Order: sequence, then C-alpha cells, then structure tokens
Amino acid sequence: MDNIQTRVTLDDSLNALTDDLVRLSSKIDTAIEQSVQAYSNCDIELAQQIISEDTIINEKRFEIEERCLQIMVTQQPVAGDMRMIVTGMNIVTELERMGDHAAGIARLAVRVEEVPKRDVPGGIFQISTQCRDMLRRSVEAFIQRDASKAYAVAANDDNLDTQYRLLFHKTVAETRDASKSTDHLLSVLFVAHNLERIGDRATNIAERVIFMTSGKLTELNVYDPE
Amino acid sequence: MTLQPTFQIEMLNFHYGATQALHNVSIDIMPREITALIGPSGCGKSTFLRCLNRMNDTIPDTEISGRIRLEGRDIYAPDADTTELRQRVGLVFQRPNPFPQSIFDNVAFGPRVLGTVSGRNLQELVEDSLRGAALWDEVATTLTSPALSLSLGQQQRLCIARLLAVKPDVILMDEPCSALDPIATTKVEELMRQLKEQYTIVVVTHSMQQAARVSDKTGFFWLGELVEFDETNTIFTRPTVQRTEEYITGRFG
Repeated sequence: MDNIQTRVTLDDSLNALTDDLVRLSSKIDTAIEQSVQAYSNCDIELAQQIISEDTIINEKRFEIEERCLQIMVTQQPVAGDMRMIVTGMNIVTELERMGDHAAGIARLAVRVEEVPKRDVPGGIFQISTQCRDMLRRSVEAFIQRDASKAYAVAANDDNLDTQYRLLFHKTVAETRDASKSTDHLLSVLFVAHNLERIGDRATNIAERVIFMTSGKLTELNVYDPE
Repeated sequence: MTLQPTFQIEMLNFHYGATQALHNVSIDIMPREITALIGPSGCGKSTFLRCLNRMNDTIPDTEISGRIRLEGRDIYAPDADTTELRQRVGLVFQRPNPFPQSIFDNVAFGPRVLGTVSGRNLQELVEDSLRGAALWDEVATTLTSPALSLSLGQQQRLCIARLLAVKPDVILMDEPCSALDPIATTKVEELMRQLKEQYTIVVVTHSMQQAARVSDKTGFFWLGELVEFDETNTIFTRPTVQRTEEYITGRFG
C-alpha cells in the first residue's frame, strides 16, 4: 500500500448521491409527461399508476435524505462538499414536490367527468414541454456544477410564466361561453397551475446550484403578479 | 471606536538556516477572538505561533525579518523585554507539561518567580486561576497532591491555570488537545470559549473540526505562506482560494 488515495469514500458517496438524484429526476420527468398525457387522453389507468408511483417517489426522497445525513455524520464535509450535500437535500425536496404536482394533474384526470378525449388547449402542452425542459436543465446544471446553466433556467421561468398568464386569461375568458364546461375549464386552470409550479421548483433547483457553485444564496424566482 | 489589533504582523519571514519557513506573512490578530491556524505538517503554522512570543529565539541559526507589534510595540525591538513578553503572551503546549510538584505549586510558580504576590493573596490568585481554567471544582480539596496524578485533560487545564496566574493578555496554544480524549477535548474547547471573554487566543490545530468549532477567524498556511485568512464561517463554507478548499476537503495534505 504505497499509494493511499484520499477521499475515496467521500467521493464515492457524493457520486452515488448524484446518481440517485439524476434517477429520481428522470422518474419525475416521466411522471409529468404521463400526467399530462393521462389528463388529455382521459386515461384513468395511467393516471392511477402515476398516483400510486408518487408513493415510491416519496420513499425515494427519504432514502436520499437519509444518504445525505449519513454522509454528513460520517464524513463531516466542509466547503464545496458540504454545499453539495445541502444542495442535494434541497433538490430532493423540490423533486418530491414536483412529483406531487404530477400526481395532482393525474388526480384531475381521474376526477373530472369522463369523456373519450379532452379538448386541451395547446398552451398546456407547450408549458408542459417547457417545464420538463427546465427540470432537465436544472439537474444538468447540478451535475455539471454550471452556474451559467442555472441562471438560464431562471430566465426560462419568466417565459413560462408569460405563457401561463396568457393561458390563464384565455381560459378565464372562456368561462363566459355557456357552451363550455366550467368543470373542464377549471381543471385546465389547475393543470396549468401545477405545471407552472413545477417551473418554479426547477428555478429553486437552479438557485441551489448557484449556492453549490458559489456559496451565495440567491433568489431567482421573484414573483411578478403582472 | 475602531478596535485595535492585539498583534499586527507585517511581512514576517523566518529562516531555519537556509530553509525559509515563513514567507511574507502579514496578518492582524484581533483582541478577544480565537484565531485558529491550520495547514499540513511543516507549513509554518507552529513556527509562526512561536514567533509571537519569541520562543524561536533560542533555536540556533535562525533569522527573522519583518515586524510583529503587540499593542503597537515592536516585540523584536532591541530594547524589548522577552521575559515581560512571555508573561504577557503565554504558550500552552501539545502535551501537558506540569512541573513535578503539587497542583498548588504549579499554579503559584509564575507569581512566585515574578515576586508579584505572596501569602493569602497568592492563595486567592491560585484559586482564581484554577477557577479560570475550569479546574477548581475538581482539585479544590487536593491542592497538595502531585500535579502528575491528574488525568491528561486535567493536566492540560492545570497548565492553562499556571499560565493565567501570571495575568497574560494573549494565550497561544500549539495543538492543545492532540493528546486528549474527546471529553477532555470538549472541556478545553469550552474553556477556550470562556477565556476569550478576557484573552486573545491563537491556536494551532490539525483538527479542522476543532478550528471550525472554536475559532472566530481561521488562517490557512501552506509552504510557509498564509494562503487565506478570513472568518471561520467563510473558510469552512465558501473559501475564496482553491488551495484552501482542496486542503479542508481532504484533496491534499
């Protein structure tokens, strides 16, 4: 043993933490995609699957948190290592909440009246695509420790908010049309709201990546009522 | 009112023969704070500490340049009094080193040599010093027992009491807990926090956790240079210099 490497245990633990977070984010990404699919196609079976898988996501979150605590206790990390683990704990919470939003959309798919296919505004699909893209890019910023990618995610959130507001106003206006189902329009608003919150949570992840890389606690997601 | 530094060190260089152990170290040490010095073995942190009370003077073939001022006065000035300096700036060593005498005589040693107090006043001073070192309750009834009968942790606190008895302004500590078990370490760390209410403390430690737990400021030494000096919180959360980050996260050293 003439060459003992330092940090092997810590580096292995941090790599395993990253892998876990990436796997969980991929599950969430699929859940969001499928929840919109289930809602738009009135696919009750798929919706129920998403709802039941949310329990697995919740369990996975605790598992990852437990791993973070274990690294803290056994390795006593400082500086960049400590910031990464704290970031990991924050990210896993955001991911779990995103899973809740996906399950929320799936519940709307189950709850509102059954029709063969819903008349879902195109804006929902656009917002869904965009918030999933933000999720993927915020996790990518985490893996690559890239603050500039994190800032780009926040910039995207403004765009997503604009799309959400347009859809919101258009849908509210449609409630005045007696031929449209209010239940359906309300469900569209709830779906859009859940997706918009997923975008906010991706921005929260981006904020944490900035903390991880620079040590600065930054608020990127400033609420603008207009 | 701006607080004046206890020590102002400017462009300090130190050589052991041809080997330069310190390179242009400049730092202000503030009063009633705990300053921790960290860095790998041989980085110069203990050499630096010993410059602060001229303990290196006795080592042959050494050379020092730059300036160290204690409350404004150059401690290396030709007319500086090293006895007075070492009374004002005491040093606690890595291994407790009580004299082979009684507990009482250990603490009374300094005041007796200085001839400052005697009789009842001396007894009070010994008690105050032992209380100051959080040892009184453990030894009040055994003051005449040999100091070497105490546990290592108690011996280290006795050495601190011995130092307090000569009324210093600054306490230097060179790895004060490296020979102690975790409970004794906790006691010394708690004592350090109490002592900083009255004294300026500079501690050299290999334990980064200890530096993080007890100190207000931390300096990182590497190859004789002071690489980074900042609030302890900053050093262990978001150090500015890459080398510091690499050292405290165990990437080298």
